[in-house]
Amino acid sequence: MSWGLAELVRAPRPAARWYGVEPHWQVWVEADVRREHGASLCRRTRLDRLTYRIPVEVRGRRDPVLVRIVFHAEPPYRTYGLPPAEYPRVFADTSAESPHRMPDDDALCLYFPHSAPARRWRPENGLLALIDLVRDHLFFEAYWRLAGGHNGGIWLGDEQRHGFPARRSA
Amino acid sequence: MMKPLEPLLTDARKRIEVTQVELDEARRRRSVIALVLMREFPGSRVYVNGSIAHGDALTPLTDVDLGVVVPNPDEEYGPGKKGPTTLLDRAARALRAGLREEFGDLRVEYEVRKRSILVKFNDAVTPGADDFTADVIVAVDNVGDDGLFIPRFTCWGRSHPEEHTRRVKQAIKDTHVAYAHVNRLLKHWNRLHGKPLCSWNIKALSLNCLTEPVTQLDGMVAWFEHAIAELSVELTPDPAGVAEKPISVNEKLTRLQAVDVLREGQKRLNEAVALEKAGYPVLAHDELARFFLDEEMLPLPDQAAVTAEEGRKFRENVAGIGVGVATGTGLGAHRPRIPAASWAP
Repeated sequence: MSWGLAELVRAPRPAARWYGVEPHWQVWVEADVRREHGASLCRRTRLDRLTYRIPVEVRGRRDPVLVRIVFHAEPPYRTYGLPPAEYPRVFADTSAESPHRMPDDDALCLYFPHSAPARRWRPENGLLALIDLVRDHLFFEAYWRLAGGHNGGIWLGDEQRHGFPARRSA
Repeated sequence: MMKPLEPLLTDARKRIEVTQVELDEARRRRSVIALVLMREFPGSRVYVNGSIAHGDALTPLTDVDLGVVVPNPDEEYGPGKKGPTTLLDRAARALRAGLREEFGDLRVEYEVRKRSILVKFNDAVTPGADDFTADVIVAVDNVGDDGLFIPRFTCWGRSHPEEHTRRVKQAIKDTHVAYAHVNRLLKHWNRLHGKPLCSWNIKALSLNCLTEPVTQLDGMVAWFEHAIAELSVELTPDPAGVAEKPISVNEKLTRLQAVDVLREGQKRLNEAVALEKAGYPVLAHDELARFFLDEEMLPLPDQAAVTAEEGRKFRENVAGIGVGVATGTGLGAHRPRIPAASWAP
């Protein structure tokens, strides 16, 4: 979304200090992925968002897939009650057919936001764990398409039924 | 039917081996240079070293190495005595005069070089290659000790290239040629990954870990394990025990950065071996191809087949059938995974 000067002046400002601009938060969340992937992880810090880009190898893909992970100070999307740091937006393989993508912006649906904490990603897991989830997710999508996609495709990973159940998952 | 890794490696190696046509021409030019030098320095002897002498040359072939040991009966030349400049100058003039008839565009350089005379033929041996060169060392015998004195700018340094070639040839014999085959593959991997080590460093390390017949795959695995263990501690010393300094890694890297490059390669190679052992030949082929990252030498397998086999592996691991505990996909599959459930609103 491109903003003109008038929109920028009117837009609500995020708090000057939010988790994504804190060096100690960045270092903490990046530590394991830096060890594994080195300089291939690129970080871009802006006033209201923190963006990571990294090429990720996915089995069955000739070339690495570019993954973009965006943390927002004040997310412009629903976080379903989760703190912003625990519900970043993850983008890869734009417009690829998949049963698990957010309908509004095509972000990957990596986990059910109302899952128990141990069953969804949190910053203390580190970025490497999130990237591993992304790698698996992209592979599951490719396998699902190979197996028939919307015509009987098989999703190899665990799935949560779309929408929200009547009761919270345990 | 998917080929096992060893025959895949053999096919790949044959694609990067120097051709007979290249070898014949390189040897012919080497002989011409040798004749010129032996005429200039009566009583001298010529030795050969480098990839052609060691049996591990790659295509395109870009250079040949040799040395001439000049008689020094009065020990006129040597450390503390006359430096190598006069001899280098004589050799360079002789080469220019002796080779100009056949190679009109020839250039012979030595003035700003550390050790050797560089002969640039301006006439590649391999069609399409940039050029073909010869590295010529002008040496004198080290009468009181092993090896030779070779130029080190305007002074002398110690080396024993004849012993190096002897050891390499012995290793080729002891390993039933596996030594040369494995080094060829390693040299190709090395040149595709920023050349962390020089070719001689690869071979020097191999002398200590490739000592009996071995498959190419096992040889490469053994080399990476040995090289990482050794270079993690120190640079590789001269196998002949003569050179004052150890073999340097790529000047753009520290020793430990070179080790990091080797570790990355080792990870892929070991993963390929593990996948083949676990019964996933397509994935093993895919991993080995990604180890080299050269589709002309070793093409990737069909990626749909890779996806299918990775799916089989994932299902078998989840069901507890596969070897080891792998909860994810791809490299890093063995890292614990958050048991997340994919979703959409």
